[in-house]
Amino acid sequence: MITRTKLLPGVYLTAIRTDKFKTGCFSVNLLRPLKREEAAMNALLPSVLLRGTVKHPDLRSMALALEQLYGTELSSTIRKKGEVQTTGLFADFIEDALVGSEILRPAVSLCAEVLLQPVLDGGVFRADYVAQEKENLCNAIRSAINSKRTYAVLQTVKTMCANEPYGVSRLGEVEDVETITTESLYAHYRNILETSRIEICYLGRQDEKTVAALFTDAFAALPRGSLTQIGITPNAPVTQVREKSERLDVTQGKLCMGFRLAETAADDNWAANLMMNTVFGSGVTSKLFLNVREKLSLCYYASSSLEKFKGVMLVDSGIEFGNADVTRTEILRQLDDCRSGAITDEEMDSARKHLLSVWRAALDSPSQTDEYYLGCAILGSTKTMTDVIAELETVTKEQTVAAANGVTLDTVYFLKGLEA
Amino acid sequence: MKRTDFPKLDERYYEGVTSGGLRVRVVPKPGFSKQYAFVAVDYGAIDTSFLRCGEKVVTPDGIAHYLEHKMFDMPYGDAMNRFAQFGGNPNAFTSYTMTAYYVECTDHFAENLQTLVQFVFTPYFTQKSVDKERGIIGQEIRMYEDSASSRVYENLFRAMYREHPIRVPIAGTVESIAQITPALLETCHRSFYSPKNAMLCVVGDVDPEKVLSLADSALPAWEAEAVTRLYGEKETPSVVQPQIEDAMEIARPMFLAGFKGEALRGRDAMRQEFIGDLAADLMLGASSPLYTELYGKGLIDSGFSAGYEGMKGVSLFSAGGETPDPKAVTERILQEAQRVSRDGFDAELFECLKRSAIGKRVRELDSFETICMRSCECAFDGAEYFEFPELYGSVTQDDVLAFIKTYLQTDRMSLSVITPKPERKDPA
Repeated sequence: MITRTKLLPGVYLTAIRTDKFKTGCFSVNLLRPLKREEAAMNALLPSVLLRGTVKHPDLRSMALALEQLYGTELSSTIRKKGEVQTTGLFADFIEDALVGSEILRPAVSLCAEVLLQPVLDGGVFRADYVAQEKENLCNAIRSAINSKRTYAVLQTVKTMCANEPYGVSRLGEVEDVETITTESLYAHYRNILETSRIEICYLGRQDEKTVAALFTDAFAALPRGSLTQIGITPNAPVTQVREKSERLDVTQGKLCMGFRLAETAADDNWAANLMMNTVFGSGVTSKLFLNVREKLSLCYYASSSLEKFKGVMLVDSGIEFGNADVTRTEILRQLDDCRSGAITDEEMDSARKHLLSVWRAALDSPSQTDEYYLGCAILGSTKTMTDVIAELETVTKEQTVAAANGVTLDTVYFLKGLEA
Repeated sequence: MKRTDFPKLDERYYEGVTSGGLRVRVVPKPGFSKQYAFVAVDYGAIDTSFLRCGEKVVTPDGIAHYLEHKMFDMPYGDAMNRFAQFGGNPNAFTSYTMTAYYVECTDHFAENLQTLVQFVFTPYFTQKSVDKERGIIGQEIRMYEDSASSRVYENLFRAMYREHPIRVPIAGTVESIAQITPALLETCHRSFYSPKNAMLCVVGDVDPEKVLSLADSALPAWEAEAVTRLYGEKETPSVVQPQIEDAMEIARPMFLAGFKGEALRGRDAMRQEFIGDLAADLMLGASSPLYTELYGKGLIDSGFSAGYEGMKGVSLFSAGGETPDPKAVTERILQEAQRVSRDGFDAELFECLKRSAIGKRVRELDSFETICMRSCECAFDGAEYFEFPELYGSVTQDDVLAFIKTYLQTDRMSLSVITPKPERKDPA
């Protein structure tokens, strides 16, 4: 049972009532336009807020308050949804019924307390908390290099969308974090609290009316002003393929390719893109898995994934340095087969079954459900997961081929070793 | 099948054994869309040396993992394709002690289950296919070699243990897998993949009796062999070397401190795990004074974690994360262990953290994979995972303090550190 309710001006609750899980969860998300000027501040803010409130002024008292609620977890959630950045808090906790005491109500109050009553010093955030969380954020940004796979994908997107908001990283850049001051962060906090659309997503055993009342009460003191607009700029046509390569002291090369799509999840035809991605490169029935990995043994992984808000497809693979050209050629050959309609009935059938299975299984996953419905709120879509499943059941090969013909290669990135 | 209820957890399961000796556990989950079937084999990366019919067999490092990749080969072709026909989403993993194969689906459950049970117990290896896999696994090994979080663990094990095969990476090395042949894979399969040495666990909105009869009819005939595993001499309390260091392309130093525990079995091992976890929560968790201190000094961040794990023949308490100063952090952990041993914990805090730890484990049961993995791990060791609330409840503050006093000692500790490589000019 899914409902969407307006709680306060610009504050919405999506409530998904289910008895299936022992864990309940909610997220409170402030929606911001993704841009260099504020990305780092948005990423920093929840960590500073989580350091302490007026009532629980330090980490230890915060941690103890959460332990009292049977190990409830309250954490920062920063997401990049196309050219929208969301910043806020995510909570998950044991369902009231399993422990015979109230957990949801105090968890909601604690979340509101963190968001609205931070511990202050001289009218702004505590300087030591801000300095330290800046350091932690810088470390998190720099640590992207620890996973070469993630790093290669990040570098591809940065190269591909260097002149678009989408090229801005989810956590911002180290240089931007460094310029943040206690005053600038506090001013930004007051500003976005007032001007951001807020999307709350709850999943658990309580009914929507109870949950709505809990949040409305807890957030009664939220300042509300005129809302900052969010939106996504459409893909521009590709004039020339961008190429970038880098060297690091690694033993495996990473080849990553960025493609632009003709459509996004806001379009009616999105299911065809999901199908195209699966036939081409996602999962063990895909052309990439069966040919690039299984037939040619070029890699341990080579797979494609979609970004549904901006309309981007990424292919990434881990290969021997010497195999970059042959892998690239093979990946593009498989895509050409999709474009020309060289897709067997068996491939369509396997892809459909795989997708249906993944989407139906997602109905059993609280985190995927939360992601999906936050996405709907951003896209302005009322399509439920069950609606998508119905579309996947009927999408045709012709539609799939048409989606493949909307794919354009934009960027090729290669991470190689020092001696390669 | 026999039904057992766990009212505290709001869980129940049905258990039976197929005529071929495969233990089958079904955990019904009404209302869920997906069905999850998991076959675990009590055979992992550490089982490289063993006695078979009185004769010692030594197999190449990484062979359990190689075997996992090759099990999908069937006389009819690739089992992956058969799952694809039925919309099943299969996968597999190899750990130090276990190899597991599983399929998740929302339709055609019977076909997916039967395909799973059939392929795990059907050895079929050709030279061509075994050779072909070498390139794929070679790249997988390279991927781990470039991963600092894998390296920090593997180095720690080498620094801590003298002879135990946990010293070797799960997937082996490019050199060791070069020696793997179809005949060797067959030997390992024959020695360890007996239904009696495995367990099937199914979670979902399914009929338990039907699961048992489907598994029974899918299981090929099998003759069990008597095998004795060889893990070398029993490990002593002391470590091989107190420190091990490596440099990689990472942003900040990464560390993992390990303390050698005592290898236990069955219920004792499970209880010890809870004691170790509670010691970690009380001494190093987010609500501990030391965590606040180290976090406040910028010596740790929210990625810092500590915990306990036990396997066949080894066990350890470990703490790690990213830090500018690994030595300072470990020094403080050792001091705090002494202080806590002396002063003890606040009784109310102890009870609160115990409740919270049980709550977290209850919530973990939302994951079908966790249910299956924990069920099988404990079953292979002769314990019952679902009894964890009672077992946890029996842990006292004295248990935790004794644990800290005994194990969190300098001579039981190794520190593994990965430092960033010095900056260099990029020749590209």
